[in-house]
Amino acid sequence: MGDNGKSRRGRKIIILSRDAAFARGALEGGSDASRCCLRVTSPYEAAAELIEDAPAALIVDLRCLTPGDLPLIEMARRGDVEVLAVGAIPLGVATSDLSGVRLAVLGHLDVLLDCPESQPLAGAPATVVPRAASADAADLPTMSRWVAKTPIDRVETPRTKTPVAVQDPQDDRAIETPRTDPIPSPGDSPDELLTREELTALLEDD
Amino acid sequence: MSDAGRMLVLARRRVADEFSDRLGSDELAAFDDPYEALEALGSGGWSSVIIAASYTGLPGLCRAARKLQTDARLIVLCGPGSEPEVRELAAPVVAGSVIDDYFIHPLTENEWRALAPE
Repeated sequence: MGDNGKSRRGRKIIILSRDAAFARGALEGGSDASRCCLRVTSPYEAAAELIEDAPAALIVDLRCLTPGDLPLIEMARRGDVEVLAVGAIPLGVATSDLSGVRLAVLGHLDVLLDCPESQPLAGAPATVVPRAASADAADLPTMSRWVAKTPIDRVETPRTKTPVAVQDPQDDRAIETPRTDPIPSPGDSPDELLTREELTALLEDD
Repeated sequence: MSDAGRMLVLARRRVADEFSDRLGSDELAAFDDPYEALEALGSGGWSSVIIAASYTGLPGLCRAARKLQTDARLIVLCGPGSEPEVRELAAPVVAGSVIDDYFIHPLTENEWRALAPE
């Protein structure tokens, strides 16, 4: 299908996401009021929409995509439907499987939809971090955030660091010299589980 | 070719063969890939659509099939374990139930008769 087919489609946009906030954020601040956005929660429903009335674009929340849903991408490709994907590529899906798909960040979708496909994605950085597809979308953040390259088994590392105030490195007075000989407190070390007084009390009991 | 009066079965090969043996292959088109089945649903009229409950994302699959075939009898074939989930799809909601009925596999003789194309 060529450009004529695309213009016939109008501005129907299918958003595949189980996350309502994702859909709201996808086209937030969009300038084109003529766009008709429809959110579906299943890749099968997205496929039905493609079959019934091909949209101008398909926005895919990659948390919804599994390797078994790659025929959806192929279907969109065959129908010349522009596909924008947001999020991390799920495990089991290769980047080559997403050939023709434009990876984007949530806040840039509106700009990309107005940008012809042939143009490079300048100003729309996309970071690809392989990550397992989540079974429970409700547990995931509502807005797409690009995460640092972290091993999967370390994602839920407990937060132990306390926030540190940002200081101007030019201001020497603001930089404190770290203590190199911290004062130990009882119980910090296995060798110092008890204070001297507690130890004495225990020995007296015996 | 008109698909009116025909049945589309979306199930694993073994179950599809069972339908073919019982109902005849002329009246039946079998698929084991959901996306291929959806494309077939979008290209013609079907009197009945049978979907096995073993597919991941069954509710979405049924909604997609219903969207493409609003007038077809939409029936889910499930095992006893998945009956609660399937029953919800058959429950009437504001705009009607997603599916028309469900049967627990293996089917009884009466159920086979009920499934036969009208």
